[in-house]
Amino acid sequence: MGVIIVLMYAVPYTLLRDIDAWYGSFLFWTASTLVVLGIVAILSFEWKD
Amino acid sequence: MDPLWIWTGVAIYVAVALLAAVASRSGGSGDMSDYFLGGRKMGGFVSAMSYSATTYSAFMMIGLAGLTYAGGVGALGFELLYLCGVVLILIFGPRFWRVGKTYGYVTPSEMLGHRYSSRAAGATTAIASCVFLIPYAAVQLAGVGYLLSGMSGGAISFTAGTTLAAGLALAFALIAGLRSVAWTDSLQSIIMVVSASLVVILVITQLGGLGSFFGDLAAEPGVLSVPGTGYFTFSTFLALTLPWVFFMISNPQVSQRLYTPASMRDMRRMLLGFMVFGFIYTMISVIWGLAAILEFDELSSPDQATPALLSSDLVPVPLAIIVMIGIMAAAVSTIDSIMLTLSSMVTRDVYRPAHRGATERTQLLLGRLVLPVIAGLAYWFAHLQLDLIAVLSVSASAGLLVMVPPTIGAFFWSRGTAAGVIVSVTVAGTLVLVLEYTGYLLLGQGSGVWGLIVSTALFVVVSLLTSARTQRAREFIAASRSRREPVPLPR
Repeated sequence: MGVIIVLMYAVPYTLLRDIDAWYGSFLFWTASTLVVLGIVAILSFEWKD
Repeated sequence: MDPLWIWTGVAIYVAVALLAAVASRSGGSGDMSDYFLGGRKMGGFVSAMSYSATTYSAFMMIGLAGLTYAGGVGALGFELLYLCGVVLILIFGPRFWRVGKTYGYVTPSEMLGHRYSSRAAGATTAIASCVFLIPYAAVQLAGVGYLLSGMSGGAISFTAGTTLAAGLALAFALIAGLRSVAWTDSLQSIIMVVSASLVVILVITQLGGLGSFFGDLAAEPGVLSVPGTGYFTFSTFLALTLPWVFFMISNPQVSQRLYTPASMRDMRRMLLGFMVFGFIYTMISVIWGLAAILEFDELSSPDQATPALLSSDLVPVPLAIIVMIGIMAAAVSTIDSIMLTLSSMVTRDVYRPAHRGATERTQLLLGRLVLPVIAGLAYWFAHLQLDLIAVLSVSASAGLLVMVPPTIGAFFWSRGTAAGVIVSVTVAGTLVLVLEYTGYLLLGQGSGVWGLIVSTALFVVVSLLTSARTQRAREFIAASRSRREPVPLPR
């Protein structure tokens, strides 16, 4: 997850900086977030009372 | 929009919310833990709604849409990175919850004071929280002021809006503490997410559908990329995002909620609900901002993006009124939570250590008396109308970042000391205040970046130079990691 979060800083300012379209930073940030939230949700199922 | 419509909507909201607040009073035991933490028996659904409403507020619906209008898609990255900061709950959620149950903490600064065996450390973090959170609450009040005046074309003044929000927040906090706050939060969250989603669907449909919407945005240079139009330089992006990534443990009105779920199962529901709401809220606010870019060439202030959109022909009047009330309620829900947290800190971490014999009843009375004082201070700040809402919010969060190293150290570094806490919070907090006041960008970086670096360095160095209470630290860390059912311990 840490790697994904670092990429959320790096990729839009490098690889995607010239892509002025929905499939650029908009899609990258949205998809990355969904992956991170999915992992968090799965890991939280280990919580026990 | 006709002010009569707006006042009618406000009146209906006030009546329904007050009923919910009064209904929430039943079953309370009336002690400090009950008033400020809902008796540590909050269910998962109400916790999720309330946690979301506390976090996402007028800042979100007004400020984030405004930030998108001003800087384009960078605002989406900024807010989604904040949402990704929720990963911290995997580490800190269970730990906060277990030590809260074990030692009976009411506030995060009470926890730090006990963990570092120092009332002064607890009081220092409590006072620092007040210094930075009151402007943050003021930002929410200003949000309501902008919203009502913007949508009514100035017929409802900024002052009327802020007065209304301050009065409601005070009432909700006073009626039944966290219970009434959480119930009104839940009511607001549900209405908000449904009505705001409808606005997004309507606006995009009227702008020609999703393909046409993004096609038009692509024709605006820099809107869908960073640094794009130049607003979101990497330094700006870093300075804005950093405080929000740590929001969950740096902001006491949020971390205090980690003490409230009845069980870990309820905490998981809180987490899942928050993630769903956070994602939807973010997308809604950003799409509003992007739509405003297409619809309005020159707004007097970027923070007018949402009011302008809601009062435009794109949104039917009844729906716009519902959303407007939802945003106002969102601001109120953040303000009342902050007021409640600060009140508990003043009572628990500043007053009680100086008056060891104070009963729960006296503490509770003082807590209620402090609430109007905090509301008054926030009201005063709101009327200074200092800056863009989003930027001012981040400034407040930047200051709270200085609490992150002592909080992490509490759970993971038994060598951390009270002197380390006091020096790091005081010096780094002052540095943030000076940088914010002067507007100086040291080496091009924002105050939050420096606050975190200096706070971390001072906490480590001063702790190593002073002696630690390792026995207390070991007990605390063991309690935070224990897999057994937490057993309350006397302190």
